Amino acid sequence: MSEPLLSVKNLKTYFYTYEGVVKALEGVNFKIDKNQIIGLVGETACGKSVTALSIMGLIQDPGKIIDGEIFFDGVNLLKNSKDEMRQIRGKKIAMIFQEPMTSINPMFTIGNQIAEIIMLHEKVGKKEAMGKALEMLKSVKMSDPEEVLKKYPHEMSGGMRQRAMIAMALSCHPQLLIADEPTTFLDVTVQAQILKLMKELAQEIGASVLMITHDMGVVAQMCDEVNVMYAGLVIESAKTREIFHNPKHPYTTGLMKAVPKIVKTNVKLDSIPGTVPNLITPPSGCRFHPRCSHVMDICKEAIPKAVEITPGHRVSCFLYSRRSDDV
Amino acid sequence: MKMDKKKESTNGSWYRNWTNEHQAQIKDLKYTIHLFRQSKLAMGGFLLVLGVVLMSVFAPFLITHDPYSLNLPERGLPPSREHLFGTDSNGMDIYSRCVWGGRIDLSVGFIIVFISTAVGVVVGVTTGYMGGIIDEVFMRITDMFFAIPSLILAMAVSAALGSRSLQTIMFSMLIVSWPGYARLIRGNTLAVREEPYIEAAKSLGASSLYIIFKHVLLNAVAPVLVMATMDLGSIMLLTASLSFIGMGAQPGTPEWGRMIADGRNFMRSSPWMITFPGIFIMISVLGFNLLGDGLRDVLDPRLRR
Amino acid sequence: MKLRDYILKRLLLTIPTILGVMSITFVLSHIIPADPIVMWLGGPEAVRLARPEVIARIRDSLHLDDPLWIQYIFYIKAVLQGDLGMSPMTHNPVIVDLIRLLPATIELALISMMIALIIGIVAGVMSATHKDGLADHASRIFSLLGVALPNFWLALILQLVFYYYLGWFPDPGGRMTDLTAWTHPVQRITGFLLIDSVLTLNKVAFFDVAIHTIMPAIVLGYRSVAMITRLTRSSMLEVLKQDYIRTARAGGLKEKVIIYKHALRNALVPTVTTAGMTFSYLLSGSLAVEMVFYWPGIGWYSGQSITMLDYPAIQGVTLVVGIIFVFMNLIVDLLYGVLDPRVRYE
Repeated sequence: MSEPLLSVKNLKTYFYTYEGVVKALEGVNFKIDKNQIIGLVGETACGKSVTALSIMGLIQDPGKIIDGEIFFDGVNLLKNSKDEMRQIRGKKIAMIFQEPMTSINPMFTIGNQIAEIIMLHEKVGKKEAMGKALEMLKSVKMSDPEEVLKKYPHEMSGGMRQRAMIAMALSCHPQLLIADEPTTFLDVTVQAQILKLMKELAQEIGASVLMITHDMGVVAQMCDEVNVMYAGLVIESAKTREIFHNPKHPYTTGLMKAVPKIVKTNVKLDSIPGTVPNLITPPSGCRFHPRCSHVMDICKEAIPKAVEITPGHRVSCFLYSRRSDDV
Repeated sequence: MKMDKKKESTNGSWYRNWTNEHQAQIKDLKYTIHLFRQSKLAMGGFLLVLGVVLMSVFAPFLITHDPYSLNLPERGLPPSREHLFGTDSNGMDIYSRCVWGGRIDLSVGFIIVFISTAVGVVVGVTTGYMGGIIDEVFMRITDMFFAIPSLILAMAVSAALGSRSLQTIMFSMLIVSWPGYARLIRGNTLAVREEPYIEAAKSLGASSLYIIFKHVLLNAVAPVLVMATMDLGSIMLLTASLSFIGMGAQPGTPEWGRMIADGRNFMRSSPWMITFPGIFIMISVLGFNLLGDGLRDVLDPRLRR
Repeated sequence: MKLRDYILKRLLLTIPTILGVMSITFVLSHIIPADPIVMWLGGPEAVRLARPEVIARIRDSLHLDDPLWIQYIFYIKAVLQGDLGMSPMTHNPVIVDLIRLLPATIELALISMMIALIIGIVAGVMSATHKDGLADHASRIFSLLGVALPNFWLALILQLVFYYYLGWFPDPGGRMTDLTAWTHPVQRITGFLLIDSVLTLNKVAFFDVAIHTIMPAIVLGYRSVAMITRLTRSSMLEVLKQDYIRTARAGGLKEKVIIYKHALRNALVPTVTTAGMTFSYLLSGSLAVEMVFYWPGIGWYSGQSITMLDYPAIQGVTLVVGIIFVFMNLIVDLLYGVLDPRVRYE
């Protein structure tokens, strides 16, 4: 078993706001191997984006990573200096965001912005960087790439902009691409194209992908493995097929039931009762317990520790183990 | 049951009924006041403005000497216990004149703001409601006004009117001010006109002009208040500037700008003649600016929870 | 291609605005209480001595008996030909006076503007990037005070302190000390003393003019510094919250590059557009500042005209200032089109 590319251990990120301390991540654990596409799913505000930003070192005031380790390529990123992190960003780990319109600087051309990153990390001159940028645009299957080099973001469609973002992110051939809900704001038809493109390119470059999404359809199409997050913790992780057919955690089970399946037409659409918890005053013990139909006394007292119930399938739930972090 | 409710609303105190009906607005107002209290800048401005207003209102009790009477034997005296800020070239007590000056500048400011707002509402709603060519004409006319810097325009209008006095500059500042309010209200009218509840109210039989008027007024209170507050500061500066260059208040009037002009020739030997009036101008304008800024931040719908 | 159309469109739009300015001065010229014949001849005495035919001829040439709209057309025609009437104060055509005095005002305004932009933008960026620090609070206080200070008062106080008490600066009288103006006169090429003295390699004059320019420029410009600082600060704060800044960080760009290239470029757009409004303050401010510093520009000219109630001069100044302001706004609009690519491709 070779070393995983990325290994997140017990990551805790808190935000010290005026209203109180938001405990956004309370000990996140997962790993990504080389050449894998891993999904990170959950409802809005469960901490998926915060996890991504923590890995990238982009957590700013009032947020702070207070505990944990993030091993990337053998190095603990949390021990890096600001400058060291800066050199990793864009070059070894890249990220794309969900809103392509606002995520690209409206004042500069696409070519300019891609070339800028290439010049920075690959230490080449402008002409060469532009050439590479053109190559990148071709590989994201952008129509009329020479023209696009000179275009501004507001002159392009949503799909084109997202391709441009992908081009920017992959321009220096990073080892890990973090994609934060990249298809949410795109048309359904374009969505499929972009996802396919990402999968192919990742394979070509030999990069792994951390796919953050709340859409199970995307997971099904893209991911080898999935980590399910709830209220700042990874509560279940397994291969995609396992999660769909054999969900173990009550939350995951609820999620699967809430996804409309075209095959079964007469099944009622369930929804999980209750609402997402307040992270300033989260529920005691297991954070899902107020909404759980299988809740037990111990669930209110301690946070369950993850156990591997079948190879490659881990759950954090007292239904499957008596072990907790505090025991 | 229904009968009882009806009885309650006609027999209960009108104040309580009114408060019950407007629960939402009252809660909104309370929240606004709370936000306002929290903003240090706004509170600071409010205190300064309050100070200036109180000073002007209670001026007759605060002054130590008559701000208008000549007293040549005592001219050019430095600050002392008898004359807190000294005396000017005519022997008049500067402290009393500074305090009294607040009345002049504040009243000029308030009058102009009130009239400009009134004119602005009438013109703005009319042109916004009617639209079409009337609106086009209005926009071109206000463009003309905006094309010339206010001080210059005010100066030109004052000059054209012939006499040099406070009344003259008041009129010219009025001319310079009203387009701003009219445009603001017009903008509001245009927005309100498109609102769905206008259609709804119309379908219930109410006259559309009346509805628009009412909603525009409600909607416009906030931005007009902000504009008026900041305007008060600008108008005070304008008044002082115009008086300084000779257009407005005439020699002898205890207007701050005029006092500085009067004291200019003696500033080397008697710097107190120009220092204190200037400080009063600065503090008043600062107060209104802070208040206006604070109000704008507090009333900004984006910043409210 | 699109940029050229944008420029053309904006240029054409200035025409109705300038017409509007002229209309205002026309209206004003008809409100003034003075008798145009008296003004034209130079005084009531001249009118009494003149023969009736002469007066009738003057009435005719001034179109005084024609309907208003005809007078309006003749007025516009006269203005376009450069005829702004005679100044009873200087006994020159107003246009001649203005041409002579305009360069001094423009020079002062431009220098103040440059100082204001440089200091304002730098201070604004510093303030935004070191938010809530000491420098930030200091510059915010300075900005608040700056907008509230009357410029004529500041001018007098500065004169008191720096000339009378400290003696650092020369007598606030005009652009050069009389002695230097006599021994090292500046040859008039462009009309801008600073440029001319450099062009003619007149070192002594240059430094003399420069020293005399500093104080007026500071007084005229401080209000603009205050406004530009505030605006740059708030734009930068807004911009730094934007998504594309996050993308730039995610790409590993250096913080300095992010602030000065990516963020500033975006923040400058609203700042530049407000620069036009600042110019309006510069023009108005020149009125009082030139009076206090005896600066031979149109502001000082206006001051004199007010004292002497020289109506043609006052109107001439209003017209010229209005036109300059319109052009300044045009330049700002064009700059806006150049700076913000989104605007051109409407």
